[in-house]
Amino acid sequence: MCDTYVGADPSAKLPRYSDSLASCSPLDRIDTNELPREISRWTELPCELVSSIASQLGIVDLLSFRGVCKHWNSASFPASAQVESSSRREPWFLIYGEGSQCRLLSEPGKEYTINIPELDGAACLGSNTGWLLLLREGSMYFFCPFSRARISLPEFPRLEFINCLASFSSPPTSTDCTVAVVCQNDSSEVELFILNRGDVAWTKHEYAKKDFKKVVCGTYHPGDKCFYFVDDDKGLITFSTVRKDFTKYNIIWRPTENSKSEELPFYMRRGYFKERNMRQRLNLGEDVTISTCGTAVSIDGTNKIIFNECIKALVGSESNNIVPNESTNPPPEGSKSRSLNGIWIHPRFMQVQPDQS
Amino acid sequence: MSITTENNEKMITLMSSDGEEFVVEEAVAAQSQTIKHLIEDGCSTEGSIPLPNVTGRVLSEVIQYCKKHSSSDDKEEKELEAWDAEFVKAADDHVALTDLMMAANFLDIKGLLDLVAQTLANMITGKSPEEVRRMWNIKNDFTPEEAEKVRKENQWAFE
Repeated sequence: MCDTYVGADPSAKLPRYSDSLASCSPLDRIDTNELPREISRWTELPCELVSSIASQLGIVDLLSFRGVCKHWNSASFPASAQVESSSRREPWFLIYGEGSQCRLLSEPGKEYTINIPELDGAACLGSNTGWLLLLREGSMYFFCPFSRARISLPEFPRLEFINCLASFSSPPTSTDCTVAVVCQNDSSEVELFILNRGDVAWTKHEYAKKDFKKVVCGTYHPGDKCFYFVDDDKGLITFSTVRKDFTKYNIIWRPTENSKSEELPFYMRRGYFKERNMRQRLNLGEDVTISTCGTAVSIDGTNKIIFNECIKALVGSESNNIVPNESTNPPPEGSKSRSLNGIWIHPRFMQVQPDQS
Repeated sequence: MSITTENNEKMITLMSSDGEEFVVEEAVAAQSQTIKHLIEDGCSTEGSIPLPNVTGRVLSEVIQYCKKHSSSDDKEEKELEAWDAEFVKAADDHVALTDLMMAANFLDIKGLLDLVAQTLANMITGKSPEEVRRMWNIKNDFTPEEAEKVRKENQWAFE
């Protein structure tokens, strides 16, 4: 080990400082069987300093950092690859739906294969700050695919619905986290289930008017403490977590001077899968139908909401689902298609404190 | 010890762990929150401020950084960034950087602490755990069970 140190790394030079380290020259290290003193140097580095190095790393380098030694592994606990989710970063894309093997496309365009048994057979209802809200075999839980951290939620009261989408106000580890799940049946009724951190059961709120179509995105705005849900037409409903009531809006693209209108606190990104050219980048065949779960991103201080989408196979689809999509030509009948799921995900390494429930 | 220069700039004497003395302008020394508080508490009037955790070699580097950063308020941010880059390049081995980081932490100089953390992080970027261990001669002290857990955690990232 000692000679590897001297030979392998040109940057590992003789310490320049005249403190105790200088007495340990590279030659001494070759001669002795003891480990060089730099080792103890690293273990001496207080946790908060190790953690401040770890906080500068993106997810792949953070994983590598955590694998170096025990001290680095435990000291990097607070680091979550936040740097990679900060401004000017587009989300990564995770594909699942064929067993536990998933594909992950990073924002710089590098592709990884990642084995996530927890996603096998799961539906992803929401994705934000590195956490996914999953529903599998009747249980609902938060899950971070990079750390494998899991937070179970109380039993969800509805298991039969046509369409379901979730949003959460903050990471599930924060004390003020509120989860909102919209469920729709085929008659477009909206049921909203709310769970605050610490609640033992979900609270149901109904939006009885049938003027809201298929929900395709949800987000939380801390400014007015409201959840926003947008449908695939021009409907918007907000739910105030303070007043516990709904407000219905129509989204208009070019307000006239006479129209009574407010500005949305976010930009909406429909057709993001196509915009990012994902079918080609992931080399997905034209026979693949993909349902995506959107997310919220903040790029250069601008909040953008990426919609859920269903991008139909260009050929060979037998699906007759009524879904918003950009494919206009009906696919020829009689041929088979593959169906996959995709998630826009923030590459964050989120963990749960051992004492947190 | 408190001296005043011709242009009325108050001077402070800092003493390193190995007994080296550095006379610097108060504004330079006050870049360190630790020293700033010591001055505010009147600890500098009775003689030099002892810094038992910082050697003379490290302290001279820290002072170099503080001098630059106390005098370049009006200058271009880019120029300062370039200077910082040269500064850490001069201390390019990780032992020197670690010492600098410990000193920046003890002296509470946030800018320097961030600069060194970023530099060390850049040195790790793109390397596997084994490469990092080799580069900095760190012992792999995971038990087989822990090693397996860590391997599972990051196997996808190193295909």
